[in-house]
Amino acid sequence: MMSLDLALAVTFAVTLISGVPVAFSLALTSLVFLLIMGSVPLHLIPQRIFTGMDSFPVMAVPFFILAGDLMNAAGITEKIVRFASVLVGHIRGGLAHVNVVASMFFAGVSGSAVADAAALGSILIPAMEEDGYDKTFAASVTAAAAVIGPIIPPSIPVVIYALSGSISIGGLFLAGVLPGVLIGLGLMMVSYVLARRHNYGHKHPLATLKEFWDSLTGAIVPLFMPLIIMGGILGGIFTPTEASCVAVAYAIVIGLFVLKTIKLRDLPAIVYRSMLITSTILMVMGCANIFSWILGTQQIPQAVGAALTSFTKNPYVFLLLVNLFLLVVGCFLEGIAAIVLITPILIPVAQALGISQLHFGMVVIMNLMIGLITPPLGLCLFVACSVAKVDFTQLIRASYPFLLVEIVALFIVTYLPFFTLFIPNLFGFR
Amino acid sequence: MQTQSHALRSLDKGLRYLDKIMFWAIFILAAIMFLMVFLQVIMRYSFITDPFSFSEELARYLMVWIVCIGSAGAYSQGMHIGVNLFTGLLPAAGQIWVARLVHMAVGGLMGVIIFEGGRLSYFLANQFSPAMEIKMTWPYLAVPVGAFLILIQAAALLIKGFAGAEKPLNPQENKGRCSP
Repeated sequence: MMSLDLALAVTFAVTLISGVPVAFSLALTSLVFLLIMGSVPLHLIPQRIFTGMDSFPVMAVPFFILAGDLMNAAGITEKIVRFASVLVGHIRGGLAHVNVVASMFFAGVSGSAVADAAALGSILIPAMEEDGYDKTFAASVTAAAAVIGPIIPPSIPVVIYALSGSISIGGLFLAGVLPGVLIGLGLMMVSYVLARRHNYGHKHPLATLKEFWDSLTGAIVPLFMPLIIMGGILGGIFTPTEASCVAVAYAIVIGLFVLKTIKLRDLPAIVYRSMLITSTILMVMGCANIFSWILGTQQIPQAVGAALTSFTKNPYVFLLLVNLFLLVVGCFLEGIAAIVLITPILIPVAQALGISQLHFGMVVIMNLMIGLITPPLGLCLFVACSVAKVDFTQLIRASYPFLLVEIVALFIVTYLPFFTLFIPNLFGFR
Repeated sequence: MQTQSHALRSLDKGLRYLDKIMFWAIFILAAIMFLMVFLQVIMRYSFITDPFSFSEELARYLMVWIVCIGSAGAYSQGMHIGVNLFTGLLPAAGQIWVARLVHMAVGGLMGVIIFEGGRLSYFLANQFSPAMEIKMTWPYLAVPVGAFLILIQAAALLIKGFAGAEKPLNPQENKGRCSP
């Protein structure tokens, strides 16, 4: 038994370190395990890949990705940026605040941090440079603000967590609203201090009422989307998957007929790209499904659970351990894979300690999303770095203050369940 | 030398042709998947109740096909997420060799999935899906077909690599100086 577990760990580490894509690294590890064990037929691999993806709720993932991509192609990013700059552009370090606020609005349209960083970065990083900001600073703000994307609903990691932990997608969506705003406020505070110290940016006058009205009418189209999604789910009009599909329909109508910014012949390329991104996410889910079957047969979840509960029965200490553990995990493992592999292990322990499922879920997701701006596998850093064309090591250094404030926000949310539970409780989620 | 570059050109031509097929296949499957779910929502609030009992099931199977084909497209473009911090520390020649080993390992894995997945699909011919009552062979076939397409892409990257047209494993992370 011991040697099997060792083979499992070694294969996983070796394939991951040598750069095998996470999905196939999970499948290869499972293959090696099954070959050594010998008693389980190998058709378990294709079978578990299939059953890992064959689910109607999972379909929210391709639709949310597609809706976000369509909205971006329709040019709503500029409208969001304009609205955000009317709101906060006059504050010291204006464009940095615009970046954060636009990220929060964009979070309501797209469910993925990487998409946020790419869309907003391509507009705001050049604009910030022109306005007298350090380019590396601009890239670090963009990467840090994109972390809010999957915390404020809709969110792909939330969908996947809710499915693998069998809790309500709508409830967990709502649990992310206040933590997302809290991170946003924290990032704005840091930006303010840094902008003052380095004298970044020019002074911008407060927007006039007319400018406010014009930008608001422009931004109504994208701001309406989260209302459709959340209103539809909470009002019981449709399931999360159907809501994501309606969001796609809304984006198509907006792009093709209202704003007329998407041409019919652009559609196949947008759909194709979104589906390739979907494939990379769902293939991780499918392959992790083989892996989690193996973890189950080895009774690893029970072993970890027993070890954890023998170490501490105090929920506060447990949450601290979870935070420290997941911050490290988030550095090395991509978020989706981490969610699918780790949640089945941690959720029963959290439940036994009496921690609210919604609260625990949001804490886990915040942890793993902070991993988007921690090296070595900080996907938002990669995106911001290639958009801004800055030095990666300097970008990592420039991100530290933002990383710190996000970790502080994580601990505030962890120990004050008010932030996660207040809004869901209003809507009757426990 | 002449024959080698000729072979490479026809390989490229074949791959472009395959890309085009995958592109349109994914677009059409995704369009049907979208229409199925969208009509399901619309119809629920109209007078016709339960018009397509099969819409949800069809959409699900289409999604599996999209993901399996799409994984191959994503593989050829280096879109799958992996860790390249450690390989990035190696000298250039080492990186190329590790990339080759990775393609070989993925290719081997796909070989197993093609064989086992093909056998599984074959044995599922006597099981039928609950709503559409089609043979379960068809949805399950997506997995070995997708594995076959990934195998082609991995082999093509390997061949191109040995012919000297080496590509980094994860280009999205290597743009500029963005890999650590």
